[in-house]
Amino acid sequence: MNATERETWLRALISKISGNSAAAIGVHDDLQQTLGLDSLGRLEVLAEIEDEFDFYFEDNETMNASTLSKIMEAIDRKLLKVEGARV
Amino acid sequence: MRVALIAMSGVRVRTEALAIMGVTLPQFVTRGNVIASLPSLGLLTVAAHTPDDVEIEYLEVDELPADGTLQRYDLVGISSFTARIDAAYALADRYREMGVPVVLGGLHVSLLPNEAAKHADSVVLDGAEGVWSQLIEDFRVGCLKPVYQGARSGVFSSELYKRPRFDLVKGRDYNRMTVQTSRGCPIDCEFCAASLRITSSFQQKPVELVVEELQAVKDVFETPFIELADDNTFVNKKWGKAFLRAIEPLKLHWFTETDISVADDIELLDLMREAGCRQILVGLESPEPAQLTGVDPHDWKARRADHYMEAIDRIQSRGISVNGCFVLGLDTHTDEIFETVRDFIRQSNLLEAQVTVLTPFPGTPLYARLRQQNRLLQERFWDRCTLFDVNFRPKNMSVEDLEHGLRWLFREVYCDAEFSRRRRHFMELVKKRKHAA
Repeated sequence: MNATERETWLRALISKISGNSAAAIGVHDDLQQTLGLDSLGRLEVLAEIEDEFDFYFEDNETMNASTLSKIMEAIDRKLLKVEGARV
Repeated sequence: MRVALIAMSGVRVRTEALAIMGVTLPQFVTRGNVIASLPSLGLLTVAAHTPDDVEIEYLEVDELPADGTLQRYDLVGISSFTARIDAAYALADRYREMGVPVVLGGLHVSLLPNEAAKHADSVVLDGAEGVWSQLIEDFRVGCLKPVYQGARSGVFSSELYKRPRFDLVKGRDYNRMTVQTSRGCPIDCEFCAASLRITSSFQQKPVELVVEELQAVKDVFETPFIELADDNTFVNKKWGKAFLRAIEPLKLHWFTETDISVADDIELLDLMREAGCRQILVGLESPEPAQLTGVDPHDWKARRADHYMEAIDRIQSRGISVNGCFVLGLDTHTDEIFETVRDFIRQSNLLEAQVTVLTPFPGTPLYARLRQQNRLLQERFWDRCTLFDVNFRPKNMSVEDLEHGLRWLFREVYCDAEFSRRRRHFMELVKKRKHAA
């Protein structure tokens, strides 16, 4: 999955859990304040990401993941770390 | 004519050591913050019963100047919890000194009307339905009565019901909106100071009215998170299923308080999930059956406790988290209770836990019993009715044991490591459910 595909996938996931249409989700929209995603919804998003990309987030890796853009960055960082470890 | 309706919510812990902990432990203040940021559904209901030609302003007390001049209104209505009732009385006194008449209402006022009457021109007891519009008419003609006895039954009947004025809080920064589906709870715990004290029996709102209210909230807030302002939403499972099927198309996310028996009904649980239920708050009170003897008149909770773990797992495995509530200081509790509760919270994998101390709210059977047994530390301690301050002598431990045990348990339950462990468990449940689907 390349970066564009990841964003599309993540947008669909947030849409499914928050109930907002995927197209209406701005990359910098606050998941809680703007999209109405509660703390459990956020956990669900993170769990599905872990499941999809086959890694586990540490708590400190997702502390600031409050927007689609920031979650994308957290995924990218994690994938780099995981790939690095595999190499 | 201009009427101000002033809400006073939230609690302030009085015991200094606890207050300090409250700002350092994760999760400790989470629920408190939620409660403090809910609008007063009672006052939005009062507003609905106000004649159309009256201008209403809904205010949170924190929006008013702490001292100095208050804005003048023709009439002020104030509603408050017990913990802030003295502040409510002080505010009422300020308005009355300005010559602005004040009406007080709410749970505390309904239970102690004589106390409240010293600070008000009029008090409304129990539900405002059926009397508020009359109160306004009496006020207009200069015949305000000192006491109005509101409704204790039939509050959702076509004669008494009006949809709360959610539009009054449009644009405000509440992170949740409240909608009520019922008043009262048949379990009738001795310590309960909720709506059952102002109802003659359990009352359930017709499903179509709840749907209309939820739609009205959606008309005002784009992505509302709903908190059902009930004491026990799913007492009637048949009603519950009809309700859940009716609200599913609204695609809302919501929280409610109910009892552990929801876990008995798989169809109900599945419908809850599909209808957007995110979390339920359940008064478990204590982990073991013997500790729960006497908590309610029929020992309903004592008979349920053996199955708590299994029930929590069944609910949470559907992606609905359980906020388990524990009350420390029951007569059956010794100083071993703190470790027992800690171990139960760990083993049950509750995503959230609310640990509080037994609190004899005025007007409850618990207050009457402890007073009769000469176990209250003070006769009047309303500002300490925070659920975290100890106000009575426990039966099988000292006051200090209870205070220290509470603080020890807070550190054990609300620390980062435990919070992280509970989150991880919930995330694994999400994955498991996804793979099972």
